[in-house]
Amino acid sequence: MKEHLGELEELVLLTIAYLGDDAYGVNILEELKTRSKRKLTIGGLHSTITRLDEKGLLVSYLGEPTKSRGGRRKRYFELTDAAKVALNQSKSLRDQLWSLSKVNLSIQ
Amino acid sequence: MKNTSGSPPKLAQKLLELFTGNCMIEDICGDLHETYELDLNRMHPTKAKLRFWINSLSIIFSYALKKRKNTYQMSQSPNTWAILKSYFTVGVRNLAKNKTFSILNMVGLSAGMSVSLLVVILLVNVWDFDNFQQNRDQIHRITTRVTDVYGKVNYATTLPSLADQIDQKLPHIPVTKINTGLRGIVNHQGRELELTGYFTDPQFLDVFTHQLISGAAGEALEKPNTIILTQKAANRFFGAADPIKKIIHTDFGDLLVVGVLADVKGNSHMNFEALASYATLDQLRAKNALEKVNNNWSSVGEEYVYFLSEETNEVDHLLANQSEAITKLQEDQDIQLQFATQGMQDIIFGSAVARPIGPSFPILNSVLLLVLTLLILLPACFNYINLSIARALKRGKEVGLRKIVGSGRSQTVIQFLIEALIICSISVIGAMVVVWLIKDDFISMLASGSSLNNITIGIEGFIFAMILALFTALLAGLAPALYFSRLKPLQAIKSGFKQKSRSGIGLSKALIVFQFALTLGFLIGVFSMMRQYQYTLTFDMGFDRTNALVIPVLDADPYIINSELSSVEGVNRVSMSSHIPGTNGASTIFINNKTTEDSLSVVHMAVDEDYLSSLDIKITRGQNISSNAPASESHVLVNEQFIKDFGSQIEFESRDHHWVLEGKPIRIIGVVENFNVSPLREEIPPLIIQYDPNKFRFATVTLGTENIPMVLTAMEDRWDSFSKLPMESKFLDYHVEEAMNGYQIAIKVLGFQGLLVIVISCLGLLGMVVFTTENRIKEIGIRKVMGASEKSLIWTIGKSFFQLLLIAAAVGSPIAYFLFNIMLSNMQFYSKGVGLIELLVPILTMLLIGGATVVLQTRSVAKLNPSENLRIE
Repeated sequence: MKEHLGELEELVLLTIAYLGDDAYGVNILEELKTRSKRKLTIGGLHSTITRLDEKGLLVSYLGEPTKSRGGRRKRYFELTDAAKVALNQSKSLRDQLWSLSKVNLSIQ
Repeated sequence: MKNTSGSPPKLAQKLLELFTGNCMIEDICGDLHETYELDLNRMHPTKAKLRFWINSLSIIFSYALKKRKNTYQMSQSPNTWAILKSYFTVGVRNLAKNKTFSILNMVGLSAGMSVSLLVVILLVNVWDFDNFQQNRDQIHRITTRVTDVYGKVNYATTLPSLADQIDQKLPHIPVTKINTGLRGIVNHQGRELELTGYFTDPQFLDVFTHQLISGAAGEALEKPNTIILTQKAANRFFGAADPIKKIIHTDFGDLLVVGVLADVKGNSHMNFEALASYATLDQLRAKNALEKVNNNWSSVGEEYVYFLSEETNEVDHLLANQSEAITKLQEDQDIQLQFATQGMQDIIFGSAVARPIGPSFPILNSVLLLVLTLLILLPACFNYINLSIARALKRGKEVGLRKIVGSGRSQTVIQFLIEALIICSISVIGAMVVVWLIKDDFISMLASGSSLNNITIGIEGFIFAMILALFTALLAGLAPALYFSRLKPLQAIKSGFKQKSRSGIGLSKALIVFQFALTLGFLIGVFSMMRQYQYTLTFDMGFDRTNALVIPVLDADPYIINSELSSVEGVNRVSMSSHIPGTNGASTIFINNKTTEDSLSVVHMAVDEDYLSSLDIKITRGQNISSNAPASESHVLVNEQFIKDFGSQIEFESRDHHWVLEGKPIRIIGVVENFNVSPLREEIPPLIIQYDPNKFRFATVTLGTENIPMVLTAMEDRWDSFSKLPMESKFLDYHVEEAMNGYQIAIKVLGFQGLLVIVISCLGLLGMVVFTTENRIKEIGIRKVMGASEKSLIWTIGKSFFQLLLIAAAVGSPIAYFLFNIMLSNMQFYSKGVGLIELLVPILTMLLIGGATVVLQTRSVAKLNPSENLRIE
């Protein structure tokens, strides 16, 4: 992999994967905030998404306008194959390091 | 969903819009909105609003937005060139299609830009003067302010001895003296060639940057009878041969060529082909072949002193001392000398001086020039604005369509600015042609007396011309561009589109009013100036100036002049005076009170007993002065003004022991009626007239009316019998008129500019009438079919224009009235001012010219066959 996958980037990708067909800005943000308990602004999220887009890890399409959101359309995100490769690499790296750990990492 | 406080804060949304520009963030806005709605359910509305603000700001500063903006711009930029090119093509096509519009504007803008272009080119040329001098900022020259019977005059020349003084006392300052007398025919190998140059000393090459190509710098100008030629002159004389050690034969003896100077690049206020050593001049003076120069001002001719120093303090100090010392030496001449230093910048741009060494341009430094230049450029720009907006009916559809397919406001602005630039660029070429035609006359008007031998329109001039075109395009094009960019696209393309925007029409009207008010201002200015000049010439100055000839006494004895010239046949009377009435330079003296140490400032004139009667100045009380007054008292005549001002202090006819003139008690023996002893621009001052032969400077000869040329010749013959100098005679009228010649220049400059403004304004008016009638051509046709007469049609169409002309007259005339009244009375105390005639004649002229423009054009439209016009489409 040419470019390193950041931690937030990894989380965003995984959240998109989890949300499936319903992965758009607000959903991703709410999901991330509740699960990771970290503070994240909408600007920060969109910046991360933009970077992932640049790296070719996700594609987006616009949905149909609805009555909520002031009639504005949602932008849905989907993982690309490259994203799946990157996530796999990242996971296998972690698994490898876990299994090789000489310190006992398990906690009671 | 609970939605208590409606939509998110508007201001934050606006702010976001402002920062996003044109790029797409619909999805992000949606996210913001949704978050806000979620927040409303979770927290207090105020807090939700605050969070909306925070989220909006986080978007504004986020990478996501930056990226989208960049992407948007990238997607735009590849087309920019193509769009600009298309605007250019469309602009050119539009100009070609609307020939009336293009020609009217081009002629107007050419005329308007010509004066600005000329000023710009002049400035560029003059700014470069002496730029090749490496120490340009440190070079100064010494000027002389001379106060004598003719008044105060600043000379560029000075005493050469000052250079020696500086050399001795301030040896660290390089100083050089220059005599510009080296000119004449040079005999060289059987050919006669002209040569002009300076006599100067070796320090010349220290003060100025001139490169010696061959010959030794140090001794080059040391020895007598040596000369350095410039490369150009050397080529002229010797061709390719080496000129060193060759001899050229001049009026100043045979001179040995010892060096060659490189030609200078660019203009200089000093122009010479050769430098001969000052020692040559000294030698000739020693041999009495040339007049000697000493510390007497009258012996100083074309002598200049330049020095090189950053600070002028030391030199100023030295000069102050010298001014005093040298003035004392001039005692026999009643003349005061004051020396001053003048930097290079001042030499070229500063106020005018007498006997300049080369050209100088004081006028370019004035705000007045800038204002007058802009006042001509503006009407031309207004034409463009007016005519562009008048065409809106046709262009509006194009703009509307462009907007509908997605052109933004800024793009419309750029499109119309490009069109303005095209027309201005073409016009600036026209302006160059006009400049070429008027430049000599105009320069002589602007900078009378200074000759600018070669003004060049080089690459620099061309660049400045293009900058001027750009500036004019902005000035002229911005208003129409903004107007079109504001058009509502749907309204614009609807066939029933009327100029809804009242502001456009209002602006046009205001501009026409301004143009014609300005025209009127120039007309009133020129006319009242002419009337004032006329008034001044025929003004009764209180003395008879017909057939009186004034002859400066020069070296002759006043008594001899009087006796010799009176015996010439045809001469009525010869009388003497110290000053020519009605001209500058009357001397002011003080009468002192011995007891109170008071002093009165009065103008003094010394005349003989015949003077007053020969100029028909009447003595109202008392008696005339005479040559045999007692030596113990000053017998004086005073004018009525004196009595009015000081009558209570000095008693008439009684010997007054308190008041003293030249050490003697004063006795007023008579009173003369007031006459204009100084020019008309000054009020008649309190005057004292005295008999004092020592002060006689001018002989005034009254002639019979017949055969004046014969009498003059006879007088000249007689004059030569007692004086070595030639007789200089001019009529008193001439002297009086010469003192007022400022008017002629003002009339010429204002007149020329007024003509340009009138032409430009009338072109604009013509254009407006053409486009208005074009828009109303069907209306006119219908009116005609319905039976309207030509006259009533002209009235219907022309009415609004006549109204504008009348408003212009109403607005312009009071302003011009006050402005020129102030100006004229500042120019002259005895001022005619702007009266009813001075206002009415220009107003009528303007109405006539403007009205004729309107009537002629409307008539040609009214004459058209209505069936032709109504049949279109």
